[in-house]
Amino acid sequence: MTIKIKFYGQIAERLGGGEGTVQLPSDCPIDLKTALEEAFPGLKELTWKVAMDQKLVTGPCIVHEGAELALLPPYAGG
Amino acid sequence: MREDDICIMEQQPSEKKPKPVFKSGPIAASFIGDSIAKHQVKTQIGAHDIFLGQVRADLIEGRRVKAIEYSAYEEMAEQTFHQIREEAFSKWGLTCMHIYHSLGRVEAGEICLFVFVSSPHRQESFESCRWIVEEIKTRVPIFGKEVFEDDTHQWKTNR
Repeated sequence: MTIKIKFYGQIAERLGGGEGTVQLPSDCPIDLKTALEEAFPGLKELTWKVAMDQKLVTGPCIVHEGAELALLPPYAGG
Repeated sequence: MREDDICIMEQQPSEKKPKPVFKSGPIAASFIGDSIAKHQVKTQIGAHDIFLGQVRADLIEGRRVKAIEYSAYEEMAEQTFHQIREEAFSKWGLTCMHIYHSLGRVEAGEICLFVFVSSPHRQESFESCRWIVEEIKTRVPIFGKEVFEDDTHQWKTNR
């Protein structure tokens, strides 16, 4: 399935835009970090976290149809 | 009704809907002053504590920072600000709380974060203000591009 993905900060700069799409398997647990690094090889050199539907994801997870992923570089608020 | 629900500042509070936190560009000293003045009618308050984050003109490998351009995953950031706010209200006996953060360009020397807590006594204000600032720095997806005087840049990371 095709999933929408947003990029922020240094990641948007490196990947050349603020959003894109990624093909992911549905209804089975996947390691998002590995899957996203395969889809976007530039990520391997960067520090980032992934959020699904505005919540940080660690470890294997099931991505549902219509989910919104976001790749977040280190925070710098304040 | 919690006291901040009748706060007269322009952030109209609601238990369910997060308050808007982001402001475009720097936070003006006059806005901060007005915010303080608006609390004079809330006479149950005995202590305010305020934290102001200011853009620092760091010298990094011979290049001077002249501004930071802030961006954010706004939907998640607003939700996280709301969670931090609710957690602070549950941990301390606060009367009022206001948080503002800049988006877009803020020059060195200008204010990018304004945290304003009020309580009947000082201890709650001191403790909660520090906690809120630390939580913002570690939990809210805000990103900062440090722009140098020669117009090159690097991406800031909170320590």
